[in-house]
Amino acid sequence: MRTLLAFTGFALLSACGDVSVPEPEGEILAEGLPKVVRADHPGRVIFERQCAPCHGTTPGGDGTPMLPATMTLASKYEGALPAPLELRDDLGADAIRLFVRQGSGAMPMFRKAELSDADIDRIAGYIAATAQASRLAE
Amino acid sequence: MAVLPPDLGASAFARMLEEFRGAIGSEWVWSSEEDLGPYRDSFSPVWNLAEERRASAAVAPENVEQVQAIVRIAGTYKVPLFPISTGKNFGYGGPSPNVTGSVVLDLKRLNRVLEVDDKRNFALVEPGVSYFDLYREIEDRGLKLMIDCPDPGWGSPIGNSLERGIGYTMPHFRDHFGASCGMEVVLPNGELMRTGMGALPGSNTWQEYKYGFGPDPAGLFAQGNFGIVTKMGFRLYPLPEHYRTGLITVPRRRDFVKLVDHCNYLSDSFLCSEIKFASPLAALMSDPDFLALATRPGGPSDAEMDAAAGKAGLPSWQVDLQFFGPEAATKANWDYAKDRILSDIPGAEAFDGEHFALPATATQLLNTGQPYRSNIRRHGALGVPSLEMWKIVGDDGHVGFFPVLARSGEAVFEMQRVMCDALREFGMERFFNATTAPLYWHSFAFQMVLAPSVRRDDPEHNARTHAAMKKAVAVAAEHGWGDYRAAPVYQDDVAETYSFNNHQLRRFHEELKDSIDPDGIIAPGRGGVWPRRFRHLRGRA
Repeated sequence: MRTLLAFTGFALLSACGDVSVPEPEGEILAEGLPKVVRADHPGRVIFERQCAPCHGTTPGGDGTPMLPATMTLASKYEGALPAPLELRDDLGADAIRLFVRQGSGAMPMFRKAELSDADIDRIAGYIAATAQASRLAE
Repeated sequence: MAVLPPDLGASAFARMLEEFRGAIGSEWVWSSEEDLGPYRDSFSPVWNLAEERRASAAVAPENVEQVQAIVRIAGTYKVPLFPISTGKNFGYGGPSPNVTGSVVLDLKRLNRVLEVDDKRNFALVEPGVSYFDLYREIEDRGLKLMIDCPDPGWGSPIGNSLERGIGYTMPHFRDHFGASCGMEVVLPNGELMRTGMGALPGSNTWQEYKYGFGPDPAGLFAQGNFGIVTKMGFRLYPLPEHYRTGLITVPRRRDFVKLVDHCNYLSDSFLCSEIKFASPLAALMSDPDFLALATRPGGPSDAEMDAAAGKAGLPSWQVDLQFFGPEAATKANWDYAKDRILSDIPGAEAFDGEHFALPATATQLLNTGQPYRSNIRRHGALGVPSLEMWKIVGDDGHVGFFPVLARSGEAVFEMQRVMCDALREFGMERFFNATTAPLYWHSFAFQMVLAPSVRRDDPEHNARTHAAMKKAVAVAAEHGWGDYRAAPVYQDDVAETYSFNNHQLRRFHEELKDSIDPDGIIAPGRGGVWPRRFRHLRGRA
């Protein structure tokens, strides 16, 4: 096995044999994000399928620290508000509906055929319950 | 009410909506401006301008019978329908139609995974099924199959393949239309048709032999407007036992020519998965002197680029290689690739990357363990849907131009030069510069990319994007390069460039269209194919 070199500004190459990474237990959280205590609420599955792929709390993959929307909100609020939606206790159903139906920046609009108003209400209920459970666990 | 359908008054429109409600339920018919907002193209470069295409209504049937009913009602009123699947065709028009006033036929509620077979390795799905849905179905059932998905994964296998979209695994799976097998289509007269073996009653090989007997019209439904696809089969990859990665670098700019040739051999021999080319010199683009060199009119010389690489201590090019199969086979293929390339290109170097058994763990999917900086996006590479790709969306979105070019290093160098010069007036020369690498998305062709951003509150910015897109299409065509896929606002521009023998291909399509859909009920203008009734809208819909 050859020894690899480090290219300035290009790639960090280290001596390698079999490159393997141990699998930790439980959820992998993005660095710097507080723990989320997820409420057992009917909106949870909808949130996990419709929102969490962009607004979740896992790292973004391929070296990106957070998922895209979580990162955008972290940058926007700079700590004044939590970046993960699941920790927001200031978002009612009407506010969420506004963002879902009208979009925001790179976030496109969502149609009623894919996300009903009742779904949005359930998402709002889940977020509120999760934000509260997470706050109590602090 | 936002807008009316073409050639239809308000009272007739109201009667048609009432018939739609009767057919599918009033809660699945929308015509208010508020409800139609999400049917606009949120990535539109002509947002709020007259050129933006707006729907008059949207309907969301639940099953094939309801789709047929909608088509027949629309036929009665001669109102065009614009079918969408999951509506996530962002960068290419989103859910918005070609013709303002069309009724969007939203197929999201046809969301059933009808069959997945892990012995014969296929799936049969409806158009509202997303890649997330199909992946979840396979996971939940513990099936040993890998899907090939685009990034982001909220799109539909049917919608994506009908757009000739791509994924990131082996060549015979990542061309999504190529990996399809058998479809069911609602025709403009409301009749139901199945292609291939699906046309033979009692056949159980619909998803295994796509041709059946006689002409196969399946290709007409990709980027076309000859019917509404309500079921479609896809070949799936039996979950490989092992995944292996490696990186090869070459020192000189001109080495790219040989590197591409070798990679074509590996890919066409089905020895490796998607190949990712890149230039480490792209890291120098923040240096004004290097930027000026890499974007110089007419292009830099090889010697100048090699000197810059030497000064920075960087190789000129790199390629990420990926291998699937039994562990020993992945090692043998990687060893072969190293031997083949390193023995032919002086100074080439090879670096072993991660390898592991499949399915990947959550940590492995995060792709933070590579011993070098890789350009592979791990989720896509392993057929695991995500939205991680959304991180590249700048401003309020973008539009995409992906010209097809030959798989050769010389062709890449030529496109770099030509398109860099063409886009200079828009300040977009960075999209094509001397470090720009081709995409090996489609299995047997290269593409490069122009993806300028849009801003919903900045018409001037959007006008620049719009003008750049139109110029890019035209200039590319002068060199024999054509776009593979386009938003409705660009489809006529692109179709215009495929003009061999006085547009015989388009005339053939339009003769068919006039015969099959004389009133232009299904997506008039899609793919640049206009029925006679709407042909006056070509280029100015």
